[in-house]
Amino acid sequence: MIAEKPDVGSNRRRFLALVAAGSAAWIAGALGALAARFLGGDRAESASPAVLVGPVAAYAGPSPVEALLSYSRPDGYRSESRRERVFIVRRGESLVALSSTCTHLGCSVRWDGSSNLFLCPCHGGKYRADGSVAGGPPPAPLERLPIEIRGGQVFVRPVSAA
Amino acid sequence: MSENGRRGDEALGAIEAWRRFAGHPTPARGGWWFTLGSVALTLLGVQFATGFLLLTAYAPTPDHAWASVAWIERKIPAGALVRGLHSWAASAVVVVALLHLARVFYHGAYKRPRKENWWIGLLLLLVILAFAFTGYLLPWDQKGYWATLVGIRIASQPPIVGAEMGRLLRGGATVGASTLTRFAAIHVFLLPLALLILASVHLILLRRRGHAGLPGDETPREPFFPKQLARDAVASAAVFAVLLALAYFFPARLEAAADPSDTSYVPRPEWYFLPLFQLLHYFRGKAMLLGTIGIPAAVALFLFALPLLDRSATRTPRARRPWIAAGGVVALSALILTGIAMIEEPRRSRLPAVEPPPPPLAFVSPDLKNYDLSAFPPSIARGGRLIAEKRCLECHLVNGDGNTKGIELKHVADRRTRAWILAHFKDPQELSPHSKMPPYDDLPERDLNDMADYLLALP
Repeated sequence: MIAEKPDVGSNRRRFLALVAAGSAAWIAGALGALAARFLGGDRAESASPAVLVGPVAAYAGPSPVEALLSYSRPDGYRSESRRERVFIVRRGESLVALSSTCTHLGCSVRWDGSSNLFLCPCHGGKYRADGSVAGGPPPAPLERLPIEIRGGQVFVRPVSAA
Repeated sequence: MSENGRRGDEALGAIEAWRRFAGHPTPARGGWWFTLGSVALTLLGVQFATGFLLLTAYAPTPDHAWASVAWIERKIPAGALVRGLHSWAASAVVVVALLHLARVFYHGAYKRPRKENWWIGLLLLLVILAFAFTGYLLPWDQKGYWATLVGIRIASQPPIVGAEMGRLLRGGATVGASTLTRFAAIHVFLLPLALLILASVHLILLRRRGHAGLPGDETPREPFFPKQLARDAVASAAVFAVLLALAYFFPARLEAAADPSDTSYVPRPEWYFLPLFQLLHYFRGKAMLLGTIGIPAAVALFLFALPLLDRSATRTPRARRPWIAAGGVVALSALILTGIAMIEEPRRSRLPAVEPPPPPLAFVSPDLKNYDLSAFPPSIARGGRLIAEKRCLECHLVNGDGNTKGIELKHVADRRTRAWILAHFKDPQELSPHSKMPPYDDLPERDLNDMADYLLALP
């Protein structure tokens, strides 16, 4: 190691250290900000449009009717086709769309006409026709999906694509 | 230092390491000349960071590479900026590395005891050029595809080894899926590793053998910290700021997706390969090999052999006139060739025969916002849009996009007439009894006609 040169005084030394640290901080900070935006920013994936599940007349009965939502949703740079089972239930004058996914651990529930309950085959979760919990481990009612009626046709918007 | 601090450092050695790093003897004069290596190192760091980000979103397959880069450009926040920075810094690394080489050449710093480090430096330059060449293909757009095709053809020219070299690079008979995966693996795995090793050796050797300084500079040395470190940091930060501005105002281009069947495309290499590109115009026929391989190899050989040829002890440029002249001729020739290529080439590509190819029809997708259909005849563009809106791709596959419940829509014009298509839209089961397709008889005649136009135009 060599001796400190006298012309680099301690003030100047501190200043140069600050300049070096500032330059490094600028590069690292800018790259860090870019990385945060790139990895963490909202990628603005467009929501999937509502999917047609049939005419209102098909859901006139009192029991929930199973319907299959078949749609494609943007998945990064590609689009993925998906299928999702839902139940359409008449509640008075309006229709409700219920997800078939059990809120306990994600199994698919089925409608049981004899007990008038949705039954989950995995751990015995039970839901009433309106989706509320009737027994078993589920912590919350079945998820309701946005539903629209246009020109006598029923459209359901898959929530997972929102 | 406090007792605790000393004990801590005995375990870690960090303070001692910093002292050695900061106190390293550095030339007291010529400091700004000596920032080029540090700037190159910083830029390689920028490439590592931006490259990592791009790799988190990129898919190296011919089916998805272009779409994933387009997605980075258009949908990912700061995506265009990150890609722009990666592209501009790639150019800047080449410039800075060449300037660094020219500086070392001029100052005669390639002589003993630093000749090994000169060789390491040349290898680093080759690695940087290999980065540039492999990275160009990855977006899988017209530019990258065709430039790579030409590049690999050049590498295949030498007798005996050429054919095998071309096959190795392509991974098959033609530039395709295997080429893309090979180039991606080389670009993100092999070259960074080679770079890391070579750059580390380069820096260790620099520290071991000491900085050469200016020729004939007998002035006392001063510690690396704070002066030289501050110069290096300021130069790096300034170059980085310029690149960020360039990336913001002049984003990297993404041409149409690669189309191997498009023969009208005029490939052009990236600017740092322009001198080689221009040589191709002077060496034709049997002499071509001389231009494509012979001259570049001779230049490389000259640079590698330089420390063995110029063995005198003096480093002063005045005393090394023949060598400076030889290097100057090479550099000047490269500059002139680049200049000619830049002036001539735009004129050449303006030949009337060369029209920009229409974007391939493949880009109809449920997410039409990504794709520009405006280049098509209006009825085809409108038909494509309708096909997407009517959700035909829920069942049908159109050039790799969509589903396989229905038949794949391709070569329609070879099999069906417009009348058949129109009748089929209105009552599918009438013409194909087992079809599950719903009738589209409620659409206006114009819509059906445009959709038929689109289907008939499909490749």
